[in-house]
Formats: sequence, C-alpha cells, structure tokens
Amino acid sequence: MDYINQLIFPPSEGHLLVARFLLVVTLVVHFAYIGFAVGASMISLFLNVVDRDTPNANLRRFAKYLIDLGMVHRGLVFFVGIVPIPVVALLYAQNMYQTSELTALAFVVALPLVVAGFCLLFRYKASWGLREKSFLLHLAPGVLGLGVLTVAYFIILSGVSLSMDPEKWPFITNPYNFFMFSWNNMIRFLRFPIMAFAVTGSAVLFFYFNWPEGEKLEDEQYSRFVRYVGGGLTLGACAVLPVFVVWNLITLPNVALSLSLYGTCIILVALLACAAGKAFGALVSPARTPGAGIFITILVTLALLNVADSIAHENAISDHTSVLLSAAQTAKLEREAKREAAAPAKGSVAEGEQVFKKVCATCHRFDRKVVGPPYDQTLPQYVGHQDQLEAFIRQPSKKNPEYPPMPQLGLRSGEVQSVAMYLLQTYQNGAGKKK
Amino acid sequence: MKKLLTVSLIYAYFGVIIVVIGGLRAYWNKYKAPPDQPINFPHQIHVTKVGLKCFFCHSNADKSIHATVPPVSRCMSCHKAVATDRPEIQKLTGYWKEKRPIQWAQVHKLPDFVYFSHKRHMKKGVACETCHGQVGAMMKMRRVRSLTMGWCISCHRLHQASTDCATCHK
Repeated sequence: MDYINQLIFPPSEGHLLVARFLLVVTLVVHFAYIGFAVGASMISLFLNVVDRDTPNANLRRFAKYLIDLGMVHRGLVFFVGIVPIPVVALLYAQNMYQTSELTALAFVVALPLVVAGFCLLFRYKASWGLREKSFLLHLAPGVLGLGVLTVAYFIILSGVSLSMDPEKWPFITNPYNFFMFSWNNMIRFLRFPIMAFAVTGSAVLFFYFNWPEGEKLEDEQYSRFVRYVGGGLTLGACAVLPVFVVWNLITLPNVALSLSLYGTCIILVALLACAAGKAFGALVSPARTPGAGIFITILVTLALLNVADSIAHENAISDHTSVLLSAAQTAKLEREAKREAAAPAKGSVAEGEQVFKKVCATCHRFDRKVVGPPYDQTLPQYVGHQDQLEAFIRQPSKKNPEYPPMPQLGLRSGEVQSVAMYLLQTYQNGAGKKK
Repeated sequence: MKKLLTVSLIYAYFGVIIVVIGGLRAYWNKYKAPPDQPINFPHQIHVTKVGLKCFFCHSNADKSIHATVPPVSRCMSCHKAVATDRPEIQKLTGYWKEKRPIQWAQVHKLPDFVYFSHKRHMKKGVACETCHGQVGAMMKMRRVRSLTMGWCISCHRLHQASTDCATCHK
C-alpha cells in the first residue's frame, strides 16, 4: 500500500507551502467546472424527462442549451475536469507524505470513472438527434454518465474527508476503503450537488444574458424562463448551503477546527447572502438584465469553501507537518555538516572565547556549578583529547545524573573547534579558576 | 413593500446563520480550543531545541498511572541561570520565590469514570506521541487526539489489547 509514498520526494517547508497553494487553486478551478458540468447535466436530464411526459419547447430548448454549455469543449473538460485529478492526488500525497495515502489513492481510483463519466455525457450531448427515434438510447448515456460521476465524487470526497481526520488513519486496514459513511463525508457529498446548482444557476444567468449577447434575448418568454430557472436555482442553493456549512463545522474533528476556520465560514455565509440577494433581484426585476455579479460572487464563495476545507485539512495535519518539517530541517543540517566537514574548519582561541561568553557561560563556570557541572571537574578527561571534547559539544549526551542534559548548541564546526581549544587552553593555564 | 419584506427575511435568515456560527466559534474557543496556560511553556524549545526527553519533566509516566507535571524546582534547576531576562521565566521565578504551585490548565483530560494508566501503556511500548501528538513541535500544548472511547477501542483492537469494559471502567 506504500506505492504512492515511494513516488514522492520528502517535502521541505518550501515544498509544502507551494503544494498547499497549488492544492487550493487546483481544487477551486476543478470544482468550479465540475460543479457546473454536473449541475448542468442533472438539470438537463431532468428537464429532458419532464419534456417527454409534458412536451414544452422551452424545457427542451433549455435542456439542450445546458448540456451544450456544460460539455462545451473536449479540451476544456480535459484541462479543468480531468488533469487536476492526478495533480491533486500528487499534492495530497506530498502533504500527507508517509502517513495515509488513502486520500491520494481516492483521486487516482476516481480518475477513470471521471473520464468515463465525461465520455458518457459527451455521448448524451451528441445523441440529441436520436431523441425522437429512441429516447432511451439518447437518455441512457446521460444518466449513466451522471451516475458514474456521482460514484467518482463520492470516492473523491471520502478521501478529502479522511484527510481531515488523521485519528482514523492508523485504523484503516483496507487500502481501498473509500466508501466512508461518516457524517462529515455525507455532508461533503450532499453539499456537492447544492454547490453544483448554485454554480449552474449563476452561470446560466451570466452566459445566457451576457455572453455572447444578442439574439437569444429576442425570445422574451424563453428569456423569462431562463431567468426564473437560473435565479431560482441560485437562490435555493444559496439558502441551503449555509445549513451545510454549519453542519460541517459541527461534524469536523476538533483537531481540524480553528478560529480562522470559523471566521472563513462567517465570510462565506455573508457572501452567500450577497449572492442570494442578487439572485432574488434577478427573479423579481425582469426589466433588469442580470450581470456578472451573481456568477462572480458564487465563484468567490466556491473558492472560499475550498479555502475553508484547506484550512481544516492543514489544521488536522499540522501535527504531521511538524514531523515533515523537522525531518527537512535535520536533512538540511546534515547537508551543511557534510559541507563543513569537506572544508576543514580553522578555529581560534579568540573566537572560542567569544563563543564561551555568548553560549557556554549561561550554564557553566570553571570553578563552580551553575546549571551544568564546573569545567574543573569535567575538562581533565579531555586534556590531550580535544577531538573527544569537540565530539561531545557537537552531540552532547547525558553523563552525570545530577545535572540536566546539555542541549544541542547548533554551533558551526569552526566554532566547536575554537571553543574546545579555548576551554582546554584556559583550563591548562589555570586561568579558569579565576573565571 | 412585499419585495422589501422578502429581501429582509432572506438577509435575516443569513444573519441567523452567521450568529449560529459565531456561537459555535465562541463555544469552541471556550471549551475545545487549546487552553491558555499561566506560563507560556514552549515544548518545542525544551524538547526539540534543548533535547530534553519527556521523562526529564514527566518523571512518573513509566512509574504511575499519572505522568505528572514537574515541580517548579525542576524548572528552576536550569532557569535559575538560563534565560532569566525573559518575562515568562521571571513569572516562573515569581512562583518559585512565593512557593506557589503553577496551576497548569489540563489539556488531556479523561472523564472520572475512565481508568487510564500511563505506566501500563509505557510498559507495552506505546510512544508518547501516539496519544499526545508531536509535542516536541508545539509552542502551545494542544490536544490532537479525541481520546474518545471509540478511538481507545480501535487502538486496543489493533494491538490486540483487552477490550473488556472493566479494563477502563473499574
């Protein structure tokens, strides 16, 4: 189960910082698009079925408009719908190096499902001509595609939820245990279609009324229909989302919580209030064309939702992060030590005296106990063995149970040599007794 | 008028949600956040920088059911001379001079009906970090494990330790 960790380099502080920034950016871009694609497909399929039972030109036209807009171009789907998944898997693997790789694995396992889901939705889009001949053949790829994407995102969101609950990591013995039915995961999963409706509703208002402008607005009845559906979806989703924000805060493990997370959620709800107000305005003021404001507000809200998740993830793994940073620091010190060892250090008694006054004198005198033992007791064993004294200063170990252990001093090689020279020379000159 | 009323209701709804989140935040800050200590003791400096072992201060962890916090005299064995100019050390010295114990806020608190022995877990080789996290990296002590029964049982099952009720509820 360790194959992803074997592919990952141990991260340094800089690596982790970049990885976390990229993770948020990639997730925001990916979820903005995937939310729109899933929301547009769901509504398109729903309206398509309704139109079959009670034919209505507006429903049919809008269903086609939505799937055309959602699956607008294969290249776009590839770059923002598919490529981010392996990228996010690697970024999670970097963040959670040498702990659970289930989150990264969840993204990897979901990748073929997402590809299959998009292929089926493109098939649904392309089969519009088949609709009158065989409605089932036209509808089936769409329903199947949406189903496959639903399974894929349940797996992905399980992985994301797991990344915020490190307490569970040691106890998951099945490496493919993606189907987590924890409350927190259910919230994340149910929140996904709601966010998808918010993005779809606001995107429809933006794209239909603003981009490209012109001919579509001539059909007043259809424009009103689009306005009602887009505005209604956005308003409804904005009203439901805060409940999920609160529910998420209640079910997140304590270790994932922080004051900044609560603060982010408050800003998030305030933004949702703005978006809801704008969506209500779009619904009740038919004379005013909805601008880009609602869409931009919803995109910022989505970004903030991912930032909140990222804060929770970082809080939850901060304990593990400290281990990674400490390992990186140790590796850095080892590299520096090797470099210093390659270039022989030149010490001097004068420099040794400086180091003694600055560092050693806090705990040591020659003739009396301060925190550590007096040098007059400890130095005799090192006379003629300066190398042993240097080794002890570099890597102190507890020798006398009556005293606390001596800490690592973090001195450079030259400083260690200088202070060892100074101590021995001072002790041998007998001057130490006066200090 | 109707429009204005509806808009007001929409904003009031979001206002209520913000108040609820504010309430949750206040509750978390009071009862669940890492508590403030009478002296800002940085484990990171003492464990990682100075290299003290856990047992140097928590000397009863392998001898008793309680790990125990060190007496002020243990701190003063070094801080009579080390970093005496720092305000937090001066606070510590104040406790020492007035012969007052430091009222540390407990971070890892188990309910009264739970019997937990540090000694027994130490004997079985459970590392301090398993329950307390990477204390050596913490500037402010915080709890990183829930210490709930489910968590304890998962660990007991994983290591084939007893899951009999009487093991922890004596």
